[in-house]
Order: sequence, then structure tokens, then C-alpha cells
Amino acid sequence: MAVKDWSDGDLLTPLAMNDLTSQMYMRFANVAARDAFLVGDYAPTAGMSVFMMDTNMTLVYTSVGGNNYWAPLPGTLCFYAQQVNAQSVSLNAITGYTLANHGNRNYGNWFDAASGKFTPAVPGIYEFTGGVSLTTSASGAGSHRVGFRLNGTGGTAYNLNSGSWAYAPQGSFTTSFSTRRFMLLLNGTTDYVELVAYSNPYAATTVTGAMAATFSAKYVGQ
Amino acid sequence: MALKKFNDGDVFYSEDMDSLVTGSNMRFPNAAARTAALVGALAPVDGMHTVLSDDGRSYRRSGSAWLPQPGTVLFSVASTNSVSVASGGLVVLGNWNTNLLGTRNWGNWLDINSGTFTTPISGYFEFAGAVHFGTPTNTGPRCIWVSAGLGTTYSYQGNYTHQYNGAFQLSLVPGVVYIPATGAAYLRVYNGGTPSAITVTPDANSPALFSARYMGS
Repeated sequence: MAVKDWSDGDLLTPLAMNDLTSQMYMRFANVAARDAFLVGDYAPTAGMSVFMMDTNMTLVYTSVGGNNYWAPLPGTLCFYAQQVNAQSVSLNAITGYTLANHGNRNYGNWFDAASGKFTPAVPGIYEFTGGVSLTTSASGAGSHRVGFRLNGTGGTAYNLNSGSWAYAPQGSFTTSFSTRRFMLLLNGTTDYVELVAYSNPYAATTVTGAMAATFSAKYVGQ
Repeated sequence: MALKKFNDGDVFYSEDMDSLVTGSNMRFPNAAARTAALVGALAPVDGMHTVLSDDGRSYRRSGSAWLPQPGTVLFSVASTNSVSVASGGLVVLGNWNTNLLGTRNWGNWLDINSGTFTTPISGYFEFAGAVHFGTPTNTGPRCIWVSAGLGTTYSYQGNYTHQYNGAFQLSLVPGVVYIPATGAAYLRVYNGGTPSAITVTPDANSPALFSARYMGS
């Protein structure tokens, strides 16, 4: 496939037509239709863009480290999850949130609502945001934090430092805060990220709050 | 228009050229020219891309509407107006008196006066904001957040503070909110658990800020 500068008298060949077609925003009903069509002369090459009508997403064929992927367009929202049920945060322990995928945005089902883990299948840089609302118990007071956890480990700098910290006095107070906008390079195979909370009050804290917690990720690119 | 694989001996039909044209990133001087051109065999279909010269924006067709491309900034406004929030009060910030994008306000989806952001489509939107407060005389939790509708089902929380005396500022780190079709969103200030009102007192150095970006459907 090559870009061609046309001149008067040039012959319009099938190869030239296929070149042009493969450089369009090709639209497909779903993944099966895309993969059935893009073979032979139309076999995907790096940089090819397609629009998926079932998910309203533009994908770019991307080559990373010798492997090829249909990656979202950089800047694309990969998923958006929202808290459904109230949840307790253990004292002095990092607790992962249980969130439900919301709407129809969950590219590749990379976000697993059952575990709360986001595990992308394309290596690259991802940007995370989140917000939580905590309601302290009447006897609870102390610090509350929210952040992101990489690969379930408890001691990395990505954890609670990636979020916000708040202090609530003793009593039943609602504490709301958002995380920082935070970016991570993920390997596209085993790396996963969770939204987590940490509470260090004098009594147990219940993650109810006035509003549901949210967690989302964007694909930023390579 | 259907995609076609060309082989030796194929006849090149006009519909083949139409298919190529409608799959490209089409450029028009304005919306009227686009409407006039995209009829018949070239009628808009989902996923079609166009660019208009008069506003410099890129559009994507979805259903019966031309929507912003995901990532497009819809509005960014500021306000230097003071707003009093009663104890336990929840106030929608409005009267945004400075448009930081000149005259840009996609589809006028943000009502500058009421502060209501109304979208004709369901989808995901990324909001950011900041609010500066004058000196409170009492302690209490204060926070800002964006919510879709006046309920709290669809919302994104801003940072919270349990503020003692002294002016302070709260920020809403950019975050995503899902908004149902024909839904609305607002930047709101909450002043809870205190016996006194608090005043949003922006000035030239620290106006209230509110912005949104479309993230797709």
C-alpha cells in the first residue's frame, strides 16, 4: 500500500483503488465484520483506522514491540464505572472498590466489574480519574484517602499518593474527593489498576456517601 | 455505502467513487454546504467524518446528528460573581460572565446564565472546575461537585475540605460523568454541617471555573 500522486493518463487499477479504500475511515458493524473484510489486499497495516458502529469508537491498528493491536484512538475513554452498592472500608487497610460498568463503554471488556480491575490488552499509557464519597460513622474520625493501585501491591508510589486525602472529624460526615489525574504505562498483558480507598479512623467507615464513586480510564497512546 | 475489494477486470461504478468519498474526511465551508451536499447516495451514515471551515471543528455522524469528535472541548467559562450558600445549602453556580473560549459554546449546551449544561444526547463527558471561597466563620465540610440532574446518581465529586478559618479554594480534578439522554449537569457547591452561610468570593486572580469535554457515547 502506498500513497500515490495522481497524474493525467494514469490507469485506475484495482491496487490503486484498494490503496485508497484502505486509507479511509472504514466503517464496520462489529468486530466480526471487520476481521472478515480486512484480509488479503486489505490486511491491516499500522495506522489503518476503522470506525466500529456497534461501539461508536474509532480504532487504529497499532504496532508495539513487534505485536499488532486494534487500539482505541488516543484520548478515547476505555470504560466508565460507577458504584452501585454501599461498601465498608476496613480500618488501616487498602480496600478495592466494587464498581459496576456503566453505559455501554467498556472497550474489550478490559474492566471487570466483579473484581474492580482494569486490565487493558493493548500496551501503552493510560490516564485514570476517579471520585469517591465517604460517610464516616458517628464515632469515626481520622484520615481518608483514595487512589489507584497497580497490580494489587501495597507499597508502590502509585497507590494512595495518586489520589486525595481528607480529614473528617468525629461524627457522621460525608467526605467527597477526587483523585488526581494520573497516568501509568501498562504492559497490555498482566498489568491491572484498581480504584482503592484507605481509612484510618477510630471506627469503621462505610463507603456510602451522598454520591456514587466513579472510576474511568482513557487510552493516551504509546 | 459498502466497502468493496477491487479485482482485475472490475467495472468502476459511480457508487464505488461515492463509497470512497463518504469514507473520507470531507471538508465543507459551513454546515449549510454540508447539508446540501450530503444527500441521496451521499446521505450521512453513522461514523462519517466531516470538517467545517467556518468553525474549524471536526464532526462525527451519530444517528441523526453531527456530534463533536470525542475529546472536543465544549465550553470553558469563568465567573467573578459572589454567591452565598446557606448552611446545609446546595447551590448551582451560574452567571458565568467570561467565556474563556471566545464565543465557543458547543450547541449552546451550557446556559451561561443558569449554569445548566443540557445535552441532547446520552454520553460521557469530562468536567473540571474550581471555586474560591471567602473566609468562613465556622468549621464544616465544604465541597464542590458536578452532577447530572439534581439527583446524585450520575455525579463526579470534587475535592472536599473541612475548613476552619481562612479563605480556601476547591478544585474538581477532571473526571468523567455519564449523562443520560436529554439530561443536564451543573457545577454545584455544598456547604454542609455548619451553622453559617459561606460565600463564593472569586476575584480577578481566582475566578470560579467550569469546563467540559465530550468523551463519546
